[in-house]
Amino acid sequence: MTKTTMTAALLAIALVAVPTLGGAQSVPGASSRAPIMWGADLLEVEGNTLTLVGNAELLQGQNRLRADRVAGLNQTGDSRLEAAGNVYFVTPEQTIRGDRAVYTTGNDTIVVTGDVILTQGQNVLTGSRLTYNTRTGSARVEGAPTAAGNRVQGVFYPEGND
Amino acid sequence: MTAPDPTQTPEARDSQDEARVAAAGRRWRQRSRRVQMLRRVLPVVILLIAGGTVTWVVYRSVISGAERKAGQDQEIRLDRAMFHGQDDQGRRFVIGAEGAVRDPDTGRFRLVGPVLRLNLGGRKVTEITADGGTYDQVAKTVTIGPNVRISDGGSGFSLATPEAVVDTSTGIVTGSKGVQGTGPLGTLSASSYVIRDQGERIEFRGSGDNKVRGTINP
Repeated sequence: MTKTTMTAALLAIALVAVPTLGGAQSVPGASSRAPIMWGADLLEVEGNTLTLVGNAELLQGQNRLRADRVAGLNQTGDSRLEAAGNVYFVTPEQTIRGDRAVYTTGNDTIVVTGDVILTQGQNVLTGSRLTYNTRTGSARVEGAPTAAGNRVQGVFYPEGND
Repeated sequence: MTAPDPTQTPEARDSQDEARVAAAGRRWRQRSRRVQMLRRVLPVVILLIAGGTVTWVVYRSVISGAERKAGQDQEIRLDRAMFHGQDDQGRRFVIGAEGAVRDPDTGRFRLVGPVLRLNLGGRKVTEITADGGTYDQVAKTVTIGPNVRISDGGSGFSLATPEAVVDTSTGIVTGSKGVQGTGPLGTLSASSYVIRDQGERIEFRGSGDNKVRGTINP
């Protein structure tokens, strides 16, 4: 395996750290202690399992999570939210789309999986797994570990290049 | 019959005989007139008596029926009423009220200050109170409102809603006139709700563009 091939493979399986595409490090939304407004067509409560079904939406600060279904809310807010189906996580800076997402409010981390698309302005990054810190606004995109065709890919528009 | 007086002349005896015959004729005619009169009067009297008898019998029948119905129609009032039962899963419930009045027309109980406790004997009891309500024993439903307060032990929700319908056979509580509450998801508002399994499962639904909404304050 040549050095170039190894580099490409490493990139393909790489854990590509993206401290926001534009390099911004500002807090995009709010802390995990901020109130969470939620809405859905249906709320199911079974024991301690709480599930939002149908156009589920959570809004914390300026961050918004939308999905067909969100489960795992609890009273303290230190929840492990599991979102499924047409997941969108929208911050003032970025829009993240995926098939599934797990948002752990305790450590301000949301992990989006599936066909992940991260957009910031005109910049687009795709991968199979994205880890986003809602407090710092940093994102980390990973490609598929083995499939060379599912590498992390992106289009960057340097500033001033319209 | 007296013997003829030998001293009387035949003319005198004839005159006495005519007088006697005339008197007998007058008596006969008087008796005949009484008989004629009675022939007319007695049937009328008989008819009056018979009619009166029939009327009295009918009257008494109607009166006694009305009295019996009136007795049945009387409202039954209960103070501090308490109805015990269990649903089809064997979970016990109790329906209490400050007062209960049985409606004679429908057989339903009108409840004043009802208090329902579901899942008695279970770990978490659901308690529902309201200003008033109706208990239909036949339909096995309790419809209460307004000012319904639901304290659901199973889910931890405290809900306020204008109306709640409790199916005592299944233990399912439903409401479709809006609901607000606090609980594991902070505050919430919804268009309708269903509490199943005596509080173990709850569904809140929106209506059209009015989604189920709430706020969590971590």
